[in-house]
Amino acid sequence: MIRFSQPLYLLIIPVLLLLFYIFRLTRRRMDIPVPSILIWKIVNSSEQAPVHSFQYFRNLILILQFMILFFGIFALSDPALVWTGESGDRVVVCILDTSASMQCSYGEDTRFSAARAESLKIIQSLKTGEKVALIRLDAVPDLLLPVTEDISQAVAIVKRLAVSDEASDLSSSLDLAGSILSPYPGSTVFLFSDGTHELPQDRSSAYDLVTKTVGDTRPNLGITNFSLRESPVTTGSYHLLIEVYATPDWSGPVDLRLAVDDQEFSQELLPISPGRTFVAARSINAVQGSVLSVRIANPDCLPVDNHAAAVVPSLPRPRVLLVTEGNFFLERVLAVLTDFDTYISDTPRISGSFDIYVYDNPADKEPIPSAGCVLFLKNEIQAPVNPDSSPRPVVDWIEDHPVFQGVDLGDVSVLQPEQIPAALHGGTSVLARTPSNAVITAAENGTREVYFIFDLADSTLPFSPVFPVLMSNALWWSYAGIVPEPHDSYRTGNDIVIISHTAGGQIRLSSAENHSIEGTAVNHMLNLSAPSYTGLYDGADRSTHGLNRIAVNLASMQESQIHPKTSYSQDGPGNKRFETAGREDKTEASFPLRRFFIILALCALYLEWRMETRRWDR
Amino acid sequence: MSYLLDEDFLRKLESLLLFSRRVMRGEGIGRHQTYRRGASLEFQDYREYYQGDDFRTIDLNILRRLNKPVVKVFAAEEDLLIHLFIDTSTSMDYGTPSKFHYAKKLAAAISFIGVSQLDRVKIVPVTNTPLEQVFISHQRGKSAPLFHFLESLEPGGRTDLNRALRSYAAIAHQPGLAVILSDLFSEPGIQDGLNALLYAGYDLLVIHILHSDEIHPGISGNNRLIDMESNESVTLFADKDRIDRYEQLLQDHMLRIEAFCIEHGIEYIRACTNIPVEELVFEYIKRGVHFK
Repeated sequence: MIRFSQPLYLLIIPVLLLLFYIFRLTRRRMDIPVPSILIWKIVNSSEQAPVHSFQYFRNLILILQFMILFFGIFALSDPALVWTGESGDRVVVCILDTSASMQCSYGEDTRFSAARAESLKIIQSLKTGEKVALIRLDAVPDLLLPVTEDISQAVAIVKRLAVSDEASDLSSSLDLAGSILSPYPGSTVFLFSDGTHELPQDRSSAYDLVTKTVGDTRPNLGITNFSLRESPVTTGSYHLLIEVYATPDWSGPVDLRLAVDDQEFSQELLPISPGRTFVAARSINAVQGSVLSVRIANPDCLPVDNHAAAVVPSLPRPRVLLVTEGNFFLERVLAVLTDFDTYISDTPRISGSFDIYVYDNPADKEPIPSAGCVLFLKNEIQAPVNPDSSPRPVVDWIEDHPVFQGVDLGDVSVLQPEQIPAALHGGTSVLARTPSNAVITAAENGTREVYFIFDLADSTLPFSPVFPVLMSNALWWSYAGIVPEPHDSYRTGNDIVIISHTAGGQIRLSSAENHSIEGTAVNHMLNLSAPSYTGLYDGADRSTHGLNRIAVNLASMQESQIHPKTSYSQDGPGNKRFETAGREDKTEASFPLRRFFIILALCALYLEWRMETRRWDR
Repeated sequence: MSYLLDEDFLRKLESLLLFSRRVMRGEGIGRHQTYRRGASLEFQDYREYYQGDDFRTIDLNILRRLNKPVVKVFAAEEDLLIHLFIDTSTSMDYGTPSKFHYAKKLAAAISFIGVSQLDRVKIVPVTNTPLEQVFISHQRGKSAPLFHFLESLEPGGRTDLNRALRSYAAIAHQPGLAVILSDLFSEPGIQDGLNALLYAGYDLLVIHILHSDEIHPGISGNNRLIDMESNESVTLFADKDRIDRYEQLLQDHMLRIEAFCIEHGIEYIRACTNIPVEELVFEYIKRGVHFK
């Protein structure tokens, strides 16, 4: 912006002198002999200038050429009409909206580039002694630059600033501005935004808020929700919930495409009502760790809300605690089952977070934890031996029970099953039995428990091939966490919960777009609320069991509604509000004059051309 | 033969006759009527027969009817003195070909017509000293010396037409047809000079010679115009308004001279150098009152 009070602009003077000298050379006076100057003297007598230099100002063409020159220089200098008030030590806080909706594009320019240009105008118009502060309007307001007189630093920060994929919190940003402006009463806060926020009604009146709205209404489609949930019925099947919002000025169907690991497998043209949210539910089969993504193929002004992704979760392996004083068969069979993390203890760790407890001959004094349990009962007191001493085969079992899925107990026999009487109470059911007694029971009282009512050493079960399968089925059935919570797509700006085994360690997630998220995992959880961007992130978790990939999606439906709201415009309709504030506060306001000077230069050029043409046509 | 006029043009000129609207006294036999009685075929009057008169002039019809001898009196035919005033000022040297060259060709044509009809031609180069170079020719078929004289003329100096014509009218004692070839750019004007010639009994023909660039100046921009005669200069920016004003003033200047000429019975012919001399003579001058 041109400000003639700066000494740098004195350089214009030699340039003008040079141009004037060139002009004089090109317009040098020519001597023309004529038969008589009798008539010419009469022509000139009434117009003869008294001063030699004054003839140039008499010449309209010359004046027009000077006007073209000056107007052109002024237009290139990006001039502005500046009102300067009485106070010269004011403080200005610029709040720049970097939310996702600021990515709305108008060809090559975006709303954010327009906001940045406007903010630079304000900052560069500050006079010596005036202070500026910068606040980034984001999900969490960020004080980019505290109150300072260093204008160049503020300009550099604004030029480096990039827009994120988050929603923004205007109220918090204004609170932050109010807090840093508390020592400077009567200051001005400039808000550069597209107006997708509601101005808080209870904001501080310690400063004057001047809004600078950029952008206008554009049709847009946006994915506002993308959730993934494992099917409770079919293993490996997932349910997808997709919500697509269309702005009121949108017309036409939605071209929705689904993909697994970037391989599109579905393309649908779905009708959508303007200003409404379209909800679609789909079921797909996907393997754990794969990336499910949805994409809107329609071109619109805000591409960032046209895609969303989710990673099919890898379920953590159930932690099994075997409480025993030594049982060869149980230790070996649990070691074979790699789907479980097995821990062995001679005393139950009630305080520990285990998913399944396997008790080998539990004593009455040991409490049963509120988790899945598999109990192997053993009679410590030697009872009288069965008179016939013949093994009793298992003759009956519930084949369609999950515990017996893929299990045939036909070759299993128990030597003396009646030594341990089955304690059948409410909620307990017999799963398998010999002709004389029940041998396997199950109970469901908030938790699931499986009872093996015989001594493994007195049966052929440990030697049967079905024993590991039966054990695995029993453990899975008793596992309480088999139904996972819905695995929604992660949202930018929200806390991202990552279950990690590297507790206390630094975790860094990075995307292919060079965006990164860093944090410290505490208690196996990583809460990330720092500015983040949509996309797939790969984690640097050292644990082979930890989650190493997440998908981050657009924060909110608000960012997809990219048209400025009317209520917001009323509060701060751009330049008018700006000018008024400048005059009222005795501060400074400006009005851009570049177009004005360009139009003036063109008009002068046209007039000069017309005059020259008329003369040459003679 | 001269480089001024080619042979075809001269042959055509022989068919033209040059007259004066006033009856002038001549010095020799010519083709122009005078108040003198002579032996021409032009009947003038009757008078009584006196002894010694030529019998051939007695009107026999009247003698037979009245029985009284009456003789017919015929008018005499004398030659005409043609004064050709050529402006030789530096301003006539303007243009290509110059106005002076144009004037010389025109003078050659008029003088050839005059010489061809036995008139005397007096070429007067008009400068500040008008009588220093005067050439008189009255010999039929002797146009070559006249052409040579014209060819030898060179433009130069300044001219005060008023003063030159007045002084010439005072000195020259035999009036005749005066043809003035000039651009009439004389600051004091020409009216006084013309009046002097009229009072001296001259019949006047003014041929106003201008170059096309004078009528429509092709200049533009910031210029210094230098007077070819006086070397005075005037600086101006020639834009359309000034050019228009110049043309209007020039038109007024010419109209003013023309009005003066019409008022005083002077034939005024305007000539532009872009019109060939042959066309000017046969299309414009021939339609005037002095040529037939």
